[in-house]
Amino acid sequence: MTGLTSGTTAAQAAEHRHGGWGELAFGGFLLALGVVVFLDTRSLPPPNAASGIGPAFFPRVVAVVTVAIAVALLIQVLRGGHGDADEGEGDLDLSALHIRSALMVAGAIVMHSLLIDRAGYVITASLTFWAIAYAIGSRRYVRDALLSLVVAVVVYVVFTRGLSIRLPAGVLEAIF
Amino acid sequence: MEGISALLEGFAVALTVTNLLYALVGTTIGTLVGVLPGIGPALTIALLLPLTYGLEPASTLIMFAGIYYGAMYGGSTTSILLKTPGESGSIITAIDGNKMARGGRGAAALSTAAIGSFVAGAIATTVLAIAAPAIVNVAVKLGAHDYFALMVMAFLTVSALLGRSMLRGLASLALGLVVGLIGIDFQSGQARLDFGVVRLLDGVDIVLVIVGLFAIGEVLYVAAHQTNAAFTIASLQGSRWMSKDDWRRSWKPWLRGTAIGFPLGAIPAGGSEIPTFLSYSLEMKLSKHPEEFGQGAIEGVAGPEAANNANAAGVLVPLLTLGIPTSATAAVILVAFQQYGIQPGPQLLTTQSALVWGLIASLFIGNVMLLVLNLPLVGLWVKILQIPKPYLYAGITLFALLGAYTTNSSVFDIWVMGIVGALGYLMRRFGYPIAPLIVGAILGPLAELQLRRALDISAGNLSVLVSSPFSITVYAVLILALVLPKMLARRNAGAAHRNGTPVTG
Repeated sequence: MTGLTSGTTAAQAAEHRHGGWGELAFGGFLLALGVVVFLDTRSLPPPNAASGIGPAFFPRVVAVVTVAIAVALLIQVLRGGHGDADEGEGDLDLSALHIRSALMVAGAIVMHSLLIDRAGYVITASLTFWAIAYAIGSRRYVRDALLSLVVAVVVYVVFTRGLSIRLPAGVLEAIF
Repeated sequence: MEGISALLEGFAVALTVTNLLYALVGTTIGTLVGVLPGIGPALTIALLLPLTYGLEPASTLIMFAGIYYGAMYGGSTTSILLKTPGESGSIITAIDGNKMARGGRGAAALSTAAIGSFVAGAIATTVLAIAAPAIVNVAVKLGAHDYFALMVMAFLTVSALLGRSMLRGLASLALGLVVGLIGIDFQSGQARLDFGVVRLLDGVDIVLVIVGLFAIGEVLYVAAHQTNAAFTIASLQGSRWMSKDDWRRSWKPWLRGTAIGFPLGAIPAGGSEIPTFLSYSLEMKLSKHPEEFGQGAIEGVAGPEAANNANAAGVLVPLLTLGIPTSATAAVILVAFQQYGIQPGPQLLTTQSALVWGLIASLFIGNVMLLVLNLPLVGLWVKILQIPKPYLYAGITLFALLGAYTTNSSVFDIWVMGIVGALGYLMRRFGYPIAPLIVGAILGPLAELQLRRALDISAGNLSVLVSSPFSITVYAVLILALVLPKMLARRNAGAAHRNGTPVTG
């Protein structure tokens, strides 16, 4: 894995630059969000309460606060400040970005949403479990596949039979 | 002594076979999710919310409280054996706990953590039982503007005290407040921030927000940045349990940790991290061997672990008496109350007396269960850490997707969760704490309610917000609370630095 090559100053500098753009994007996003919240309040009718406080009051407060924080954040980033990434749960190295693994996780979630109502829970969940296990680094394909199927079937049976929660049976309707 | 007799009635509720069973289920699940990296009590409770709709409120809340306490116990196990804190409250434990484990004293570290948690839990729950009725007596006299002041306090302390950057905490809070705005305004019936999407009229389901941020965000983060597909666990083989000397060195830190943890949880001061840091630096200062800190000093495990459990009990004080959550987990428990149409607040102790006291009584029982689950059975939990990481995260993802889908049997919810998950990844990557977002999203609408109530009464005069001695005091304390911990944390960070950097990666 490429992630094992950490600690070089070049990599750290690259990570810093990388992080810098992300930081700016995050601040920009927050700024845009504040503006959107404010613009949204314009469509709200004027208050009819005696206090003159209507549905637009609190969103406007939130919008102003959001914009203020975003501006302060952007100033901080432009002055060279940056956040400490979450220490997470295990061996993590932020100078490495396994973009393929992350996209695979994202792809598995999208696939899950597209397949679940068509193929049914068991097939969809098996594929999802297998794909995530692969993305996190498991390479024992057969064992992964068997385990995926077992997990999906157990979850399906426990939820539909035990907890009476509806899950789509899909193409396996005849069996379940 | 109305508290004592009410507590006895509470035991009558908690000691039924059903509720004992739910307490056992809760403490077991809690320990499990505390032990497992990547999954915590807030996420677990959020996932269980849709499943508990048909249960009795008392049973559900007893189970959830068990999960909350249990995760505090379980988190220390991961900290000590893996050096990857399972919960934010166990970060400091990882320093000396893991050193002890690597030096063959893992069992002693685990025992002092578990027994310290028990001692702290028992004392803090007792104080909770005594303090709750007293606080309610004050709370019933508070007006809407006072509540708004308390909520502002909760917002600012949760966002500004958690994590390292005040600005980033506030940014996270702002995101949460925006999420809380989405949907139909409760008073005017007007839709806000719905962008013409009908599904957004009911607002964004908080379960999706929590599950997306904690589960999907975490899995993406690990997938993108992990260096190793396996955990490195310190072995417990041949390590000794607590010696007489270990006991002698542990009992005072337990008590001091409790004394620090409970009040910091009870005043809406947010976060189980700060009290553990304070406890650690206090123990170091009082120790005759400060040079041992960072090299495996048992006090550095005993104090903080007691502090985080006492803190968990303390957090229940504002939640049960004022309806104000000061941690992500407390915020989800608030949602659990709302699910049953119950709004926690000063009326709760009178209107839902059996429920609240049953809950408090169950905490005593759960605490005993947890001691048994975490001391003699600790070997079992160590085995669970041997689950291969890919399967652990695949399982977390699957349950997250299941939780999102089953809420409304809707694919739309999976997409919402996915988008929130991507946000969760970015927040982790750039050092934005998650908890303020969740507290903002849940407490935001309640704060708006109080604010509009206060301003309706005053006919729109904003000075009503600082019109009572109580609200003025709250704002004054708030300013102090924001300045003081910063100074302490700075001193503490310097101290921790001298003793080896805490938990890098």
